[in-house]
Amino acid sequence: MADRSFEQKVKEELADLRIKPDASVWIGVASELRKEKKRRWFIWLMLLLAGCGTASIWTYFQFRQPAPLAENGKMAAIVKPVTTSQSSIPNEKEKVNPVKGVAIKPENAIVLNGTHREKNTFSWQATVDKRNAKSVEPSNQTVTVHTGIDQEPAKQKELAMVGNHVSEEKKIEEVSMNGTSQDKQVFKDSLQLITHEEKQIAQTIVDTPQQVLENLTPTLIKAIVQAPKKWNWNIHLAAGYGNTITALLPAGKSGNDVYASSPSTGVGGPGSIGTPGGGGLQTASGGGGRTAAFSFNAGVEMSKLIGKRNRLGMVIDYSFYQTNATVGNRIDSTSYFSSVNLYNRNGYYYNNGSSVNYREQYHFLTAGLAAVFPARLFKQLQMRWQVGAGLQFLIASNGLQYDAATNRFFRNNSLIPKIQPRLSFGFDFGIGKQSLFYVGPYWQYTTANLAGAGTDKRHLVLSALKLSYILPEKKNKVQR
Amino acid sequence: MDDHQKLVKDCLKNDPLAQKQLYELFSEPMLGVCYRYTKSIQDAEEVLQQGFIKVFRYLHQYAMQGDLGAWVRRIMVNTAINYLKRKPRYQLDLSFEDTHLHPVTAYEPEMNLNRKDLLNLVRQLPPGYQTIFNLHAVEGYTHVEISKIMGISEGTSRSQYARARALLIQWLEKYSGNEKKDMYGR
Repeated sequence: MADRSFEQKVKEELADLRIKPDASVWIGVASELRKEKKRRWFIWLMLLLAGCGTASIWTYFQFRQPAPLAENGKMAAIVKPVTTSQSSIPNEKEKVNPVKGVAIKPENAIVLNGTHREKNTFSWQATVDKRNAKSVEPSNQTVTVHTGIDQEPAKQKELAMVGNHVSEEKKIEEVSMNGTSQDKQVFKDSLQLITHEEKQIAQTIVDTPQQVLENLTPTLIKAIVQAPKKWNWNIHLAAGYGNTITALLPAGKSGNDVYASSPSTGVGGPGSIGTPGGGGLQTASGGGGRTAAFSFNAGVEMSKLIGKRNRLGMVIDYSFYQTNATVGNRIDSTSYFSSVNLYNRNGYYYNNGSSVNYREQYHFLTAGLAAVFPARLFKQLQMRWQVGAGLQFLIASNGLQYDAATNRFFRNNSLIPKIQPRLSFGFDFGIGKQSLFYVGPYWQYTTANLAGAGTDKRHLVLSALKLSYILPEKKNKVQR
Repeated sequence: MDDHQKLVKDCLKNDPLAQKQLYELFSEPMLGVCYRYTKSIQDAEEVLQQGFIKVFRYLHQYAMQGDLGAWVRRIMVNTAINYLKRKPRYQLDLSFEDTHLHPVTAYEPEMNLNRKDLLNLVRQLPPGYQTIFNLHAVEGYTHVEISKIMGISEGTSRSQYARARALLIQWLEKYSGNEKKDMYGR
């Protein structure tokens, strides 16, 4: 009972305590509410992008048809010298991979260029690489059609046989048209499903190679030869060093090269970073400043052929930038920063100085466009120029801002633009015969200013080595 | 109550005016709450800010039943406790060694103190004592509830409260004695 009276007295005195808060508290709350509103919008945008990406991938795999060739979208029919005594259908040992040219030499090959047109149809345009075909000796030869058939219905199989569908080694079905009558019938039946003109060519190929050569006019070749305009997917990783600079052009001094004086104290040089005077970083010799730190970028690109060689694509990637900064001692306290009219929400700030190493980190998601211009060096080396532009969306950051009035550094991400335009540039070289891997230098530059306060300018840059991997098209499996 | 419901609905529509109104309605009493748990007005304001951000973020969870003020107050108390746990300088060490033991007493001092002085004495308690004393004596939480909130046993909560209470009474006696001395000029 006695206890209760004591507690009651305390409660009466303290429960209804009222203290008027500082106006900055509401500023902080309102700022956070605005930020959350933007964040919600950003989440929806990311969900939309993720949905589009997923739908694209699903569509890609759903509607992808058996690749006409394993390489460069070409189809191949192989003119193979055979003797009249040769077995009509080659046995297992004779099966070759014409694409890799393991057993078929170029002078023995006729290459058909084609493209798929619709889902589940193998309507393709066929012609013959005349240069190669010329070298074919018409006498005592027959045409062997190499086919690789995906796990598709029987009708598709027949069509695939017509289309000379090349597949993986050891999975090639071969149909020699001077073989059994049954084989020949199957092949000819399938011809009914292609156009008259194509049928003529195909039949000609089958029946008389010499006649094929005669029928091939330059016009026909020109009209038909075209690379398939498919989406090409690749993944990339660029790892290197990130930093901040004051301007893209050389006229703008790097933040690391600029001494700045603190407007509040008038004391210049070492110890001041990010001051509004311009750049606001001191050199390393001054005991501090921003220096480069490990950063990377990873993402996915889907591109389509524009014209004969160049590609234009969409890029979605994640960028992680870091910079090293040196600041003064940390003070665990909240403070109101009048120069930017903002409240420090993180419960600490840093004095101006050079006693503490601080690593600034920036996380971005980017959606953008990229153009690729292939080139060839020394006839052998595949090379590509790349330029890109996109929008970076800030996910998170612990980047510091400078308050001129108090000469302190503090965190407040509302000062960092949430959406930042980004430019990228680079070139790379293909590795290997198939050039599925490309590696080369790469640069990124963000045009938005990271420093929201004062006249300071800081732009993120990434200098990296970029490795790209072009996802190969799905190879077809043979259905026996 | 209807006014509060309308205010909540407007806030849920992200109406800035309604949000400001809700803030102004509760900011003063809630800063009083935060102040009791912290050691400085800056910390209290920081807790208040974080608390209001939570209030607006989770306002959709308010069931439109019961006192809105009590709901906001509960969030503030939870935010304050989280803040204390997170901040190393509060050293919310709830384990007691022998050297830290304080006598337990059921004695009741004469409460001649004004609100401000009493508040200052409570805020001079060690953080662990201060928190549990506030939760039990002022907020009315049971020791079972406190044990869940603080992640301690019920027995620890009880013993800490008893010791906090004893310490406070000791200070109150001393304070009252000093007041008399001053009054009589001795």
